[in-house]
Amino acid sequence: MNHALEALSQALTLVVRWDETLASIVRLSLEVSGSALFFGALLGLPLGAVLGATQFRGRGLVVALLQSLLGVPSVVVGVVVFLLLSRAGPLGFLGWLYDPAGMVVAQTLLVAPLVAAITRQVVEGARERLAEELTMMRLGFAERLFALIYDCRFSLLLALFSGFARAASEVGAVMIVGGNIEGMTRVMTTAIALETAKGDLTLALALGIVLVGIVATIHLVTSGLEALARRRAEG
Amino acid sequence: MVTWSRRRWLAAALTMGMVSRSWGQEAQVDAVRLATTTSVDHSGLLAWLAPQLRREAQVVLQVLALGTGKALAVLGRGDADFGITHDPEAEAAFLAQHPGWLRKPWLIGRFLLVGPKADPADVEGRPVTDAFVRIAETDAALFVSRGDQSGTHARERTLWAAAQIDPRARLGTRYRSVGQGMGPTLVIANEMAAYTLVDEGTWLALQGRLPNLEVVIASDPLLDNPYAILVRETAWKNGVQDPVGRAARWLWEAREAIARGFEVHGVHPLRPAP
Amino acid sequence: MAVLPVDVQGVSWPSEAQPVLRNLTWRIAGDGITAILGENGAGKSSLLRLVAGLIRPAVGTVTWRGATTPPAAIRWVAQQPQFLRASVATNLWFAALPLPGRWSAKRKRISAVLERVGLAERANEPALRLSGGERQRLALARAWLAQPELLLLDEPTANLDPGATAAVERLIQEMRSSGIRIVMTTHHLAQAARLSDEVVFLADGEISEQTPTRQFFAAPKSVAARRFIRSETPWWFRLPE
Repeated sequence: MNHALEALSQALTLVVRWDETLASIVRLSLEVSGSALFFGALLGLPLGAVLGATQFRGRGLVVALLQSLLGVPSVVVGVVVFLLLSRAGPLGFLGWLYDPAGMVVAQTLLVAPLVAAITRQVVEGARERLAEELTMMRLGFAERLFALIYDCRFSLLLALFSGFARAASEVGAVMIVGGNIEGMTRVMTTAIALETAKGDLTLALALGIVLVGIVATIHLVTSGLEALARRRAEG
Repeated sequence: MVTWSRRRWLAAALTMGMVSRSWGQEAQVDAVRLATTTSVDHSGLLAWLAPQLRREAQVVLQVLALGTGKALAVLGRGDADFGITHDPEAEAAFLAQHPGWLRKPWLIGRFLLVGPKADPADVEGRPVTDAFVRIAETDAALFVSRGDQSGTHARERTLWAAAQIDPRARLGTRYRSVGQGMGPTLVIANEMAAYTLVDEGTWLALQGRLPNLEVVIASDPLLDNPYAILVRETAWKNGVQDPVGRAARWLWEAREAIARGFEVHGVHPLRPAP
Repeated sequence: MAVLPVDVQGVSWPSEAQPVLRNLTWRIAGDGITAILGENGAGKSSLLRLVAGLIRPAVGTVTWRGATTPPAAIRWVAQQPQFLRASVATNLWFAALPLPGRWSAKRKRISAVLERVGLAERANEPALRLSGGERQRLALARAWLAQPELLLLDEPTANLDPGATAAVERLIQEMRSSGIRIVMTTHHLAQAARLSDEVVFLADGEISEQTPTRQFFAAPKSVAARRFIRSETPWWFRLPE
């Protein structure tokens, strides 16, 4: 117990001092997961919105496929991206393996289906409520989509947060695609794994504290904003 | 006179049968916990030794494969019974801190410097400290380091020190510390077409899977990789009753035979310690 | 794109086997307000939706000046209108999106329409915070913005108190005066008597009467209509002059 408490206090010291090693790892994590959120939302939001707003033959199949993509483990995504980006693979010429660029690709593939699935669900709910009205307002397809997305804008914020949380917390894909190289591709999750395996619990705990802190803060801010804005819009 | 019921006869017969079965069984096999390095584990040596060890010493090894530093820590805490490591300095420190332990030099392997087939730093066949200097000075040369507390990493650090170079400072982003075991490190080095230090056992075991790498320096005294057995003196002295002592002694005494017999892809990577 | 006349020809809905509306034929033309009367469950709302083009008949056709797809100049207001999670003004902004014209003109029309329905002060408030009567007025404003040729209202004052009902009825009359052809369903006889120029009585899945209002209340032709009036009105009921 003493050993754990000591490690914890040393870890807190590292966090408070904002140790440079810690800082560089956190910065890289935020860059990689943040970029993945951006690209994942760019892909997932429109896809989810269109799926939620339209009816077409085979839609049920597409939605089921999307839901199943959510269940793909991060290591599997990692292996697939590894095969694509390795020298022997079709996209090897990009040189993105063991590079943050490859990590962003892998995490984008994790974020996009999640954002798409949540967006679809939320937009579909709005559509059920507003379908007849929007039809009788004689809105075109794009205008209709815009109206539905606008109606759901708060819930979509939560979708974005979920996407970021998935990216920031995963370790399988970034480990395989990034290689956990010090100063280059070492992010919070992979660093925690390494330091713990090496027996250096101080840095691992410090990173864990920061990671949980970041995710919790973003969640609080997001849901707080959402509640505030929702109250203003709904009364 | 007591008449035994049929059931009692059956029970008696079964018991006799079981007792006689155990008389015919082979002698008791003991499990012994060994702390060793990932390189030793990956080289396949322990797997190759296992059947003979079981047959001749009646011992089965439970292998904990870790980095050298962690392996020694585990030994010190008593979470393993004996150890096989390849870092003489760390081993010396361990002995200083843990009186009552013995170090028995066992086998000598070697490290290899491997690198890209194009050899941009032109180090092939040179002395290894020279090679490190050249790698530092060639802009196109990348170096992948294990970056953990392994014996291989310790040797790499020694070589940089011998060349009087601080790799992080001199190579900057050309020096890539991955913090992983030998296998993953090689895969990464292969992918990046970089130089790296590897023990011969693992290199041979991964032949065929690393198309971009080849051996650039193989023979250099600084690349010798001495494996030692670390065991408690009390266990060593009690080599008949104590399964730990039995295992350690058998391994040590068989070292010449092991060196002769253990081969990987047609090569005998180990020689016995004198 | 013109809307009238709307021709409902031999329409059965929802299915031929179990129809609520049965071989129904009806023409909407001319001016003023038509009230659709009938028992609950007679299919008034569904008939309105068919005319709006929101649902399609199982048998028969609905055409708008000969066209088989509903034109742009129809607007429809549900019994419980739905709005976007946004302010009153923003909802009207969305309604103005598909309308022709420059945005400066549209913005002026939005302000004007808000004034006419009495919601100008609530322009920046969330639409979902409005009361029942205010919602109806906003829905009417939304429809009015488009200056439709035909306006379909589904029980516009069904759940409103007398004050709100009066306000909405006033708006309906104003819209009629501005030239909009209105068809509304109601089960409130007095309201039909007050507002409408023509009554369409729906019974047994078809239109059993289509007569000017005064005539309907004075001398209803069908037995069903007579029974309906008697059941819905007190003995002293007289048609307003």
